[in-house]
Amino acid sequence: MLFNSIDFAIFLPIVFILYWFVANKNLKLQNFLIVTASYLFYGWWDWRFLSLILFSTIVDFIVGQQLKNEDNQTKRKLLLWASILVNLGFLGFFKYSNFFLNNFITAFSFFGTEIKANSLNIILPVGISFYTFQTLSYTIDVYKKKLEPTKDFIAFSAFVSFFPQLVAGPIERATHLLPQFYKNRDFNYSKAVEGMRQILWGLFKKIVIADNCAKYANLIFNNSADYSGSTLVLGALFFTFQIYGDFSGYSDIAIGTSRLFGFDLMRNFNFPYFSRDIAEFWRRWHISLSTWFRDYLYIPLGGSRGGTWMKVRNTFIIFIVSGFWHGANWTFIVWGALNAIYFLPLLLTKNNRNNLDTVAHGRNLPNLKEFSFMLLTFSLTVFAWIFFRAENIGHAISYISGILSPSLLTIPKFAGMRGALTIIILVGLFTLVEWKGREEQYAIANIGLKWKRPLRYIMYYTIIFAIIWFAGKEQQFIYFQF
Amino acid sequence: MKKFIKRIIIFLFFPFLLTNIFDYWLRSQNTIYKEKYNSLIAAKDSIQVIILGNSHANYGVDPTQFKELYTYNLANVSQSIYFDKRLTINAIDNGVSNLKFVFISIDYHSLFTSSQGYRNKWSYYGNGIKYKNEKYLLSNISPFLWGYTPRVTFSLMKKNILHRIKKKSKLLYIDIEDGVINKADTLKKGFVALTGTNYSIFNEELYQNRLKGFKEPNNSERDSVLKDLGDFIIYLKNREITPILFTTPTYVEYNKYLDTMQLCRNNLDVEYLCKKYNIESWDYMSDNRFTILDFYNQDHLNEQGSQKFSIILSNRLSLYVRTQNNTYK
Repeated sequence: MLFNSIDFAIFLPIVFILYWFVANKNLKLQNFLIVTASYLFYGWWDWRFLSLILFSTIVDFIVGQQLKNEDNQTKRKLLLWASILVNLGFLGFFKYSNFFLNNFITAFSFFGTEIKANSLNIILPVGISFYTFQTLSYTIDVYKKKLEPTKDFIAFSAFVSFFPQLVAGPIERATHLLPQFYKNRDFNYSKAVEGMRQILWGLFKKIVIADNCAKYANLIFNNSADYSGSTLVLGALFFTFQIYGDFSGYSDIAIGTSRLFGFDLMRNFNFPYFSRDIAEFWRRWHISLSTWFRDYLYIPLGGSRGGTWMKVRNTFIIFIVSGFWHGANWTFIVWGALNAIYFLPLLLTKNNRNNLDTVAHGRNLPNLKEFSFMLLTFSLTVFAWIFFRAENIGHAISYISGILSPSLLTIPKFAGMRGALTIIILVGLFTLVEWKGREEQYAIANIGLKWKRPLRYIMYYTIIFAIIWFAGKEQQFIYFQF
Repeated sequence: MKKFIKRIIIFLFFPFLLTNIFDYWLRSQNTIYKEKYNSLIAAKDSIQVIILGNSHANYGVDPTQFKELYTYNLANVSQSIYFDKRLTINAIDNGVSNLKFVFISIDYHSLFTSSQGYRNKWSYYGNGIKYKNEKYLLSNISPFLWGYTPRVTFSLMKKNILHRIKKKSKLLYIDIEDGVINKADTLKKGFVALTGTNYSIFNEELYQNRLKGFKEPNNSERDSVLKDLGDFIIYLKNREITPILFTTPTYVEYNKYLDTMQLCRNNLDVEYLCKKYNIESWDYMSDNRFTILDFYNQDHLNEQGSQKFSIILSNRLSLYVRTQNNTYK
């Protein structure tokens, strides 16, 4: 079920009413309702893959219980690896088997041996990368004794399958989300209103910004050979805003929806395009994944504690794995490596933690230095997104070669340029609102709170009107494929 | 909780009311789809020839030029063979009983797609024909939100208001394309002409851009469209109605940019159909009698061109009737 679908618009109020009116005051019933609703939400796409979630839930629940009763370190390690193998095994099979198979064949043919094998016809289960990492966090934390394993299977199932963040995050930590399923939840008016506002802004980002940018990004990327360098730059910029609107919009809807049910999810985006260096960008982009890799991969590998070689190695590992997490394609690996290259100079010169505050804190505008660094970081990010969006490495290289041609200095031109101008203006206005709200949880968190109700309603109506006006064909979220 | 629900209801009341007002207005409008279909049914006893197809036929064949047989233009913008077939069957089922000939327009892009895109819903409101398994529940609940969409609704309202101000009369019907191109606003036997020649769009770049949208996609529906068309031809022949495939003229310079492979596939398919079902195909695509003055743009005839083309078509039909030794008049 998509957040931007009519199915979800019907599903959400029904679950909300059942949750607060029928299951109210009964924690177990509320958790059970969440599990049922979550399985319905996921099964709406393809019910066959519910068995994967259920199996993963059962395995990790049992492993958690066993870890609690086991003191022998070797056996504990075996249990942990059993969970990792099951979870990553599913992920590897569904997401990466064709990639490895095809590369294996290519490698052999390079050395003159022809292997005949057909690609497997595998459907990638939606959101598998997200819930796999979420359940892994539970087992690892229990193994490290950071978390007491749960005895409540329903609460654990609800934690694994919690529908607002099941298919595209934020990837929650068991230490943060699981305890919320043990506590009684009372309806909180302010929290619910806050949730609704965040959902509204998330829908705006997805439907108005991302889906409209997608139209032009797809047009330009899919026919990149036909366009001038300047048009290709515009295409890359459209994709830059598409992916941000799409993914951060999804996160906003997920967080807002959770609030309606009395839950707090972790923040996933913190205005990343206003970053002054790449290190800051990665503290603000897909935070739940970056911190997951930091805590469960980078730090266990030694982090930045060792010598220069160790730092370089670990940085490349974490960025390349992060790229590969996004998809089984060399483009994602190059995208990850490129970010590692951007990041390394900052790490090696110990400048990676320079910008921990918000840019232009307490001021309306950044100073020239801040602005220059923001522009540089943004440009580097846009460049890296070309690899992320391209069909393959060859496409990315030809796209970049197209940009670096004399036509870069011409005026961008493509069919539908007039419509695109409206979207460019919208993206400009959107960026202004995001800039204004950059110190908040989400851009409009503080806007209109002190206004009189009719005025506030006008603001909401305007956003709703924009959503309806600019809505096109219902588009799937990009991150569903990961 | 009660406060939250109450506020949500109050908040939603205003948009709900507005949506209902727009829905009521849209439902009460006469659109080109309604107008075409209702006029057809009104003349059901007289109609002997029906013209089918997309905008090429819609703006290209003037039925008033057919002097010997009563002709009606049932083509519409983006109308696919899928809808051509169902509209005709519907018309016959609803009493069009004297039908002798059906002209089915086959264009460069007719044979590989069956959908009309967003027009599937607009035409559904006018003539009730549904597209395959497309769901119409939401479109029935609110044409404003899920049918015409707010953007189109406001454009229709604007058109209506401007017409009332300028011409001091009510619009006879709403043509969703009106305003994009110049044309007369009264339908004659289902026909409305484009006026003049838009010289600014006769250039190589625009030809190429336009043709990008007409390129046969990887998920081409060619086989199913041909099967549907074959079934349609059988249906007509079983009722002693003669189907004739035809292609309207397109501008000679524009034709140079058409994909030869796609054209070749089209020609082979048309040849196959003609042979299999023993029917005729009248192809005027590269007819050199048509100059730039006959076109509104690269692939649509204007008032003058449609008149010229319709006379040619009508004369050929009369000759065909005579040589077949028929007495349909």
